[in-house]
Amino acid sequence: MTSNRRDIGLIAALAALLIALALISLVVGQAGLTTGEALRALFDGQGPAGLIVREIRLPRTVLALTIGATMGLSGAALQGLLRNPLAEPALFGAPQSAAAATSLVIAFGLAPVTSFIAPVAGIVGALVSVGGLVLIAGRRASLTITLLAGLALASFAGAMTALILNLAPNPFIALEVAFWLLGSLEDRSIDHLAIALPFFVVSWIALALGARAYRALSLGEDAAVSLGIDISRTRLLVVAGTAVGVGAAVAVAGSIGFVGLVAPHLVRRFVNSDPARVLLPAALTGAVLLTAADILVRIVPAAIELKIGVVTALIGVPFFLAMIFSERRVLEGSPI
Amino acid sequence: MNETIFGAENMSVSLGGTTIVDRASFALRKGECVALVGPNGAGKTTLLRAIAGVETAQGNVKLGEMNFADVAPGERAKKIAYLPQGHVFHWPMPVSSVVALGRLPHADFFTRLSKQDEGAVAKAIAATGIEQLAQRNVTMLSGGEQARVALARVLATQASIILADEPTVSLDPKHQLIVMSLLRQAARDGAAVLAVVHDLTLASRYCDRVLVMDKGRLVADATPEEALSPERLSTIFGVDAVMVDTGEGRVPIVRHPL
Repeated sequence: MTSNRRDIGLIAALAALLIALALISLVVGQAGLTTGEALRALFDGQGPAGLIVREIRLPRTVLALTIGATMGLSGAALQGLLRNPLAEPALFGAPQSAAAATSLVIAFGLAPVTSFIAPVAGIVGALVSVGGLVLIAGRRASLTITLLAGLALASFAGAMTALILNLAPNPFIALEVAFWLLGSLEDRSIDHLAIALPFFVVSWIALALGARAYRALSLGEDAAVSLGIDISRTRLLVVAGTAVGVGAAVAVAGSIGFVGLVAPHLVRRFVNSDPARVLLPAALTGAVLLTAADILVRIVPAAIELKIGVVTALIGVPFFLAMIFSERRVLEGSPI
Repeated sequence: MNETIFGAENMSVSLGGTTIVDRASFALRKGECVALVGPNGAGKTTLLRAIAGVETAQGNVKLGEMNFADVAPGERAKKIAYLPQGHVFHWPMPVSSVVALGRLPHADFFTRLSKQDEGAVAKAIAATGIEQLAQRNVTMLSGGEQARVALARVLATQASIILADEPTVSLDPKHQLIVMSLLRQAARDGAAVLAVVHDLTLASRYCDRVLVMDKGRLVADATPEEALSPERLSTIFGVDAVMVDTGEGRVPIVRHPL
């Protein structure tokens, strides 16, 4: 609207930051390549350095970037639909449910992890959970009902995952699933990227199509309908878009949460809280956050590499608590 | 008689199998400010929601020459603007952006405002006297200021029909008068206005015509003095009322419950 120029500035700044982080992500690693060697290997693809950068670091970087963007965008879209800054796929059990469904596939060897079955299972799991949430919370859902329903769904998904680990045919598989659940981008190949990327793109399109509706919804559902918005279609787009994106992300990288909560919050003030204008900056911020977190887990000295899902939760949960604290007046529904 | 913009014959609305609006017949005309009054639960809000396209109505309902059911939501939104009861602002957006939401039905997919849109927004902001608030955060405004912003959003659509559900509720006396006179002005500027009003004095002072609803039926459609006669107020609302001359016309004053 009136602030187009400012939006473009914000988007350009985030894109520049993202490119810088992506390059760092290609350079950082245990192989001991220098920056120059790594960048040269990226372009010529020669020798072992080419293999490392192109086959190992590049897929990892692109996955971090696209998963982060998907999380940031789905958080912003869910927040737009529910008109609530605390909405985030992980609070509604979407990644947990996707994880439960994917662990089932892995633990019982129903399909190899790099087949299309894994993301499809993840998507079905996420769809059940996000769909269930929107169904339970329904129209005019209060924040309390939405969050409680999300808590119930997340807990149920956790219980299902525990059940699957419990019944896993052998302890090694159970351990493998448990580690995978922590969320990581380590050793992901171009195959992982290839199976997830189409789903991400579908999810981005679905979530972005609701932009007009999120803006109208800032006046409430009745006003939005009277402005010509099809609420059922919008709800379907967000449920499907979130489930497809989060489901595919969980299937290739395990459970990575809270990016969807943090990313839109960081940029909202720069777009005057407009729920449509926040979408692209939130997606870019999500990509920035996850790429940065993935660099962090590689440079923190530890005998075992930290799992990125652990890092995002460690940062995300205190952030969530801080948000609850700062918004508690609004949350308590007290007059201003 | 002015041109009829919206005509309903036996318009009914059912919610979950219960008939809430029962065969209402009425017309909304260009340039006319109409009040919809009735006891709680009479079906006023549901009737308004059905005209706004939020609920589905049965019966012979026409928007202009078109069959109402055949009007696409996007087209309907350009012609009918709706201010819901207890208007809400979910995000701390600047007032000007909130008012611009009224142009949403006219905007393209990317919601970029055209010159015409900007003109309509500026006009609505000026009409409601909120120029000073244009850059303020809407959630930080007082109730009276928010009411004016909500009304500006509705005016910005430049719709031929304006629906307002209890626009004066929880406002101080001055803002009640401001909001009612803005609605009347919108009618004078050519819109058909239909407002649910609980304050019978305000309804009779600011509206040209009053529709009285009771138990889902439309029981009166007349001038304020005729529609809000003490006899009708006692049978429909169960209150004892008198007509008082204020020097600016006769208005009903309710005295005590019967």
